[in-house]
Amino acid sequence: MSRREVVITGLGFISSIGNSNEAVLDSIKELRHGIEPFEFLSGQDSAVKVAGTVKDFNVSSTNCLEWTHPAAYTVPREILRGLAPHGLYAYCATLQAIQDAGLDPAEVGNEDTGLYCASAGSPRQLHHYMRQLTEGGAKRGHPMGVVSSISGTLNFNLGAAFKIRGANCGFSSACASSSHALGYAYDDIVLGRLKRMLVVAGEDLNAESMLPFLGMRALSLNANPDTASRPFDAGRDGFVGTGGGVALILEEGALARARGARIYAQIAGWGQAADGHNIMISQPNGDGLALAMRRALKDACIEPDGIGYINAHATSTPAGDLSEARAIATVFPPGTHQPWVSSTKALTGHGLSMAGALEGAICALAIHHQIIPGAANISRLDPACAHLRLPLTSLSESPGTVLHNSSGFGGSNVCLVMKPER
Amino acid sequence: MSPESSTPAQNAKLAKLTGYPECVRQAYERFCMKRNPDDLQCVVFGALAFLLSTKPATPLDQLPDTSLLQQDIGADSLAITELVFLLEELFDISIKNEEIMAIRTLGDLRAFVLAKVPLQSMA
Repeated sequence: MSRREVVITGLGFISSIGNSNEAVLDSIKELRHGIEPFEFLSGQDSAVKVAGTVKDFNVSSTNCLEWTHPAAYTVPREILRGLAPHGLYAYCATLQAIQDAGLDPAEVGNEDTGLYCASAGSPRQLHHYMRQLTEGGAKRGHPMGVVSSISGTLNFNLGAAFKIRGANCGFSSACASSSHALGYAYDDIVLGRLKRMLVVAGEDLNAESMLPFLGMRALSLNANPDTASRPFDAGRDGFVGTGGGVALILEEGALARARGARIYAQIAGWGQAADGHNIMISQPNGDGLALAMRRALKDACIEPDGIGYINAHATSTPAGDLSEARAIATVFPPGTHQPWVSSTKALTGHGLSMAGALEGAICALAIHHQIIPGAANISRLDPACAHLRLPLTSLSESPGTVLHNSSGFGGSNVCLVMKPER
Repeated sequence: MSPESSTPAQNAKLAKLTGYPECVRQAYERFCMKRNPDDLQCVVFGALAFLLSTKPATPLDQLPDTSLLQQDIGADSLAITELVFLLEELFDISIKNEEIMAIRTLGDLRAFVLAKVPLQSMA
């Protein structure tokens, strides 16, 4: 029996490079980044000067009643009350994706549709509510303190808001989280457990979410928004954080075709493997990521020479990018077929647990619109990455079958295979 | 809390009503000055109306005391929890679970708040 087909039929973006499919596609085509000067702590100098900013939203208050969002979205107070800042982004992205897929509420709120989410929670809201609790002598806490703060906040809130009944779950593997969500969503459709999946991810952009990464020396100290995020460049010095929300609608191919849905791309398989090496740092040779890539290729029944483009995880850290470059060389040895490689984090910044969904959605757009995303901000290629075939501008050609890599703390590696619909 | 002037503590409490309708904030300020039970009811019913997902067609103070908060008014359990937290914060009171469970109608809510919130100035 042939495997059930899984297709992507809806996308939604609240991202540093655009708050719609069209804006994100234009940014990718033109290599327009979304990184700006950013004040993490009001009135205080911070070593980190830039971020991939979320435009047209103001969530700077800890009181959700003071937040603002684009007028195109209606967010009832009973939904807003439980959201973290990234919950608002993710809610808006989900509304976009559902509309983009042409689904009505009953096609989302039923026993055959599930929701898989990824977020790191909201340290800012958690801190705020804990302070409120302790200042009151630990006598009373805000009733939304838990559901708007902890790492399941997206699945709690969106599951209720969209009346999800098929399955509701969150994934927590740091920067691989939403790629895990995509992988397991794919599995549930292939296995016939569910017919349609919403995969939604989000991250806050504020001091509490990003500055702790300064302590592990992972953030770029480059104050120039045009060059701070430069994966595979010799001058890279760390990642640039970004927040936002991203949503993808996955459907069984037959179901999508029966309702005449527009199909962006097909997910053809995935693989994962672990480093067993370090809490934070990738195994230097990228052995775990290479194994994840091989397993993904095997799962999708495709040979390495069938891959046209790799959307790299590369976050612009010295060690991480090098590890991934070595992993790619293991699977695609120099002298053999070399797919194009780029990390779109040069444009977006690093969305942490949202990264896998953001880049998966970018790959879906690239496949559908036949674009190979360029490798931005490379002025001096790291000699150790010289074997990579990097398109220095975005190319107007089909990427063919795509590998989409993600790696997270603890040596968690995920690789998804995406391709044009058959 | 001083009955005649805004204190930092009073302003901090007023900040907890940020985003609530202006009439609720004004009623709270009046109550802090005069400790009038009518203003207290304006705060409580105004806040409850704001927390409802479907706004009531009839103002809550014109509905019969026997109206059930959940079935008739449409307050979900989270909205009631939000209201309880707000009242605790605004009026420096502590409300027990058993007390919440006993409040089933608008009349129960009115009577409970009148009994629980000191009408004499705490200054």
